Amino acid sequence: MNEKDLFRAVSASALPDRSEIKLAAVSSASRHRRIRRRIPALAMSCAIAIFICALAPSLIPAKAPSAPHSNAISLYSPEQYGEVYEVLSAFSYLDKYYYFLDDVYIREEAVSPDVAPSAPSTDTMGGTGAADVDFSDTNLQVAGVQEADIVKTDGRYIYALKAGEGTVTIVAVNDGNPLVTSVITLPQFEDHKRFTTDLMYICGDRLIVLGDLATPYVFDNGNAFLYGWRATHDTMAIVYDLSDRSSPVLLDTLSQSGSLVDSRMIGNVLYLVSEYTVRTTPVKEDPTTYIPMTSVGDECYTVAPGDICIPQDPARRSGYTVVSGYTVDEPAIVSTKSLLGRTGTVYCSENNLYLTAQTSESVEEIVDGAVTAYSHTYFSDISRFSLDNGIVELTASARIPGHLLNQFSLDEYDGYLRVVTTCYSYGRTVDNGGYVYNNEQTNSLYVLDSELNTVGSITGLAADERVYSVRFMGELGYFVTFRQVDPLFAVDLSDPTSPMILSALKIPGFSEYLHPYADGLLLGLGKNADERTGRSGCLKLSMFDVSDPTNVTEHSKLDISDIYWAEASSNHKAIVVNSEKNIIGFAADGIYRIYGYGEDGFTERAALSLSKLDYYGVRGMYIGEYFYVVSIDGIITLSLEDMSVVSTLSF
Amino acid sequence: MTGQTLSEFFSKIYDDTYRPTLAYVTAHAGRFEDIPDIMQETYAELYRVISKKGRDFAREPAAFVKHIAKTRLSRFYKKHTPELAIIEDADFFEPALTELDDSLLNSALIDEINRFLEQKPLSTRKIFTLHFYFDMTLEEIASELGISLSAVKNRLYRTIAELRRLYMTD
Repeated sequence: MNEKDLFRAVSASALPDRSEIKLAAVSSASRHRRIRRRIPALAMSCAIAIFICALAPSLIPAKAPSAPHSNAISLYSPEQYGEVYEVLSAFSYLDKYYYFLDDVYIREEAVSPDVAPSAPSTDTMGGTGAADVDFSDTNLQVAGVQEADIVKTDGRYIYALKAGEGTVTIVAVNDGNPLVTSVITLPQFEDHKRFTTDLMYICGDRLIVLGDLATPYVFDNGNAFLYGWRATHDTMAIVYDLSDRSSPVLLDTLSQSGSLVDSRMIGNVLYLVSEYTVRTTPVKEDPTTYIPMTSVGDECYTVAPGDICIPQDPARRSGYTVVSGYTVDEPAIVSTKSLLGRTGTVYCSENNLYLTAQTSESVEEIVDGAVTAYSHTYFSDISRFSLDNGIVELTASARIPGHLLNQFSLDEYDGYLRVVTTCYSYGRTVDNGGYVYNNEQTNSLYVLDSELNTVGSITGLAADERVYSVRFMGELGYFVTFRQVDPLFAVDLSDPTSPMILSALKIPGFSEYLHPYADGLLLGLGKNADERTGRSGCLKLSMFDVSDPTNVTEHSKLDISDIYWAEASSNHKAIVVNSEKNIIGFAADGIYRIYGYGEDGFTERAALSLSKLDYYGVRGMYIGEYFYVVSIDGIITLSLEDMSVVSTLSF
Repeated sequence: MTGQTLSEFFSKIYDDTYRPTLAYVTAHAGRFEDIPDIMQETYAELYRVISKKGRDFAREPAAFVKHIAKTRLSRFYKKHTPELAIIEDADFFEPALTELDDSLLNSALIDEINRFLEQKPLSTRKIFTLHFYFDMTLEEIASELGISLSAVKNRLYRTIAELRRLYMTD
């Protein structure tokens, strides 16, 4: 089968059915004319009603949803598994995605035995990784809350995950002259299973590699199908003991149902969030066919009924979100909770994990069996789980208007949750027998209390624009919206019940990532743009003077000509920033760039060509007196003092 | 024009203009989910016009239908035809389309890929659809969407690379 034919079929399936459009068009045209003839007498009253509606913020004010003060979503836990089965059946979820596959292929693949991690030892520096030098951690959103990445360091060793090869290379820093200590080959799995990974953690003497384990569906005739709806996915964490870096040992595997959504580590506790879709034929009497599971090694556990939360709103009941806490010193499951419903953005503070899911509400007006007027509004459901040494408890769930950009759209501070959303709604009404279409887009900031009720808000900001970046800094918050110019809003959050816009700096272009640089300075990485058309251009660095939030200015900027994209624009872990060491480092277009900032603005301190055109996974970090650029080809070491190349290591 | 004649005539114009009109609407819709509504409104308007004016409703039927579609798009979003706001201009390798190792094409895999594409930016989905379904060249797509050719290439080939990594056999 030609790949192009597959993609053509995929594209075709997303487009409307030709004959249905034709029938609907003819029917609509005929009905439209009848409406004109039948309701001319009502035209005047409709005009008045529409005039009144035009003054209101929504198309159908009597029914349009608005931000409630109490945002609570009702949830309950079942007492028996059978109750969950009935809920899923009522939603017709269980038979929604099943296909009868007539023809399946047999994938001939060598089955490799489990391979224990091993590598020739080339260095004698195996040992604990505790470092006594200053080194850069992964660029975290919240201090103390670790986030997984493709490259890690503990100050003595650099750990580089090669996702395509399924290996982790452990490199001793060796004071600027890195040496490969060992190479871990991740285990292979039998029965056509495939493990894919590009994230890991380092915690003391523990290496935790996160990934997805795909299990094919095996038909009665023995044929196996790895892709598509029939395959199942589990999130897996493979835990290694690094007590001897030259000879890592696989300790155990931790897994849970569903594909990995996100993860965090707080101390030595790992929290995994996955999304589980039931893809096998469920049997009511066998909960393992439709209830999420967790496992340590070969020991499997079904999530207990009391640990499953079901929302009252049936529209949310598709798929599960699974949240678990694990210890990694001695790999074990501490607790698991499962929420019936999907999840998207994950934000984690030191004490709470917040999951958000985009949803929507529709209101329709039906005349003679046909939809005439409707409105469709987007919301975000937020669920908060408390975290206590691996114990996970669902403590609140609420719905607010709008959708979130990413994890930086949320911030917990002093018991309050601050959230920035882009609110979008669209619809149509009937006006003098014709349709009037409308869509609205604005941006809002909400402050929620411990019950996730709204105590303060600013709404209706920057019409027709959307949020491009957000950064909260204590009692201040900054966010960028954009369409043709970039308002950088500064918000006073000192009074949670009364957030206040302090200033709105309008400049061409926009920032996609904001980073506190130094006292009174806020760094922005984004793009410039044509003021007239709004068309974005090359990458841009901006340094904002926020020493006076009521008068924020762009102190300096640098257009990075001919470069239009960097991983750091959408992945905060791909940038390293340290004002004391005068480092702003990230990879773009096959070059790792290091900038400094001073009285004269931005300066380019280094530009390293990478041998392959790497778009993802290039990381820079400082350890002691050196700066290391890690790519899939190896490590380039620079002197922090003058950015000269000190050594290169290929692996 | 009698009812049967109207129906037959409309069907002919519909068949002749559907594909290019759908390509145009796909390229300029604000959301994929809006495409059916806009297409329905376009051809409902066409039907009304033909009902009133008969066979001589327009000198250039295809251009006329496109004009209706453009008007409907404008009214639908209450503004001029939106331009894509993001340009990415970078060199990128051009992977050759390959024969898949397996010969299976089924609705499960198609659904899976569609779910993946739904997570992508609208412009990426448009580029993908305009290229693989409407057979538009990359230059045509760039012109229609008002973005650079390198931006089209970048988005398309990165998406292909991701799809291969996620769904294709080694």
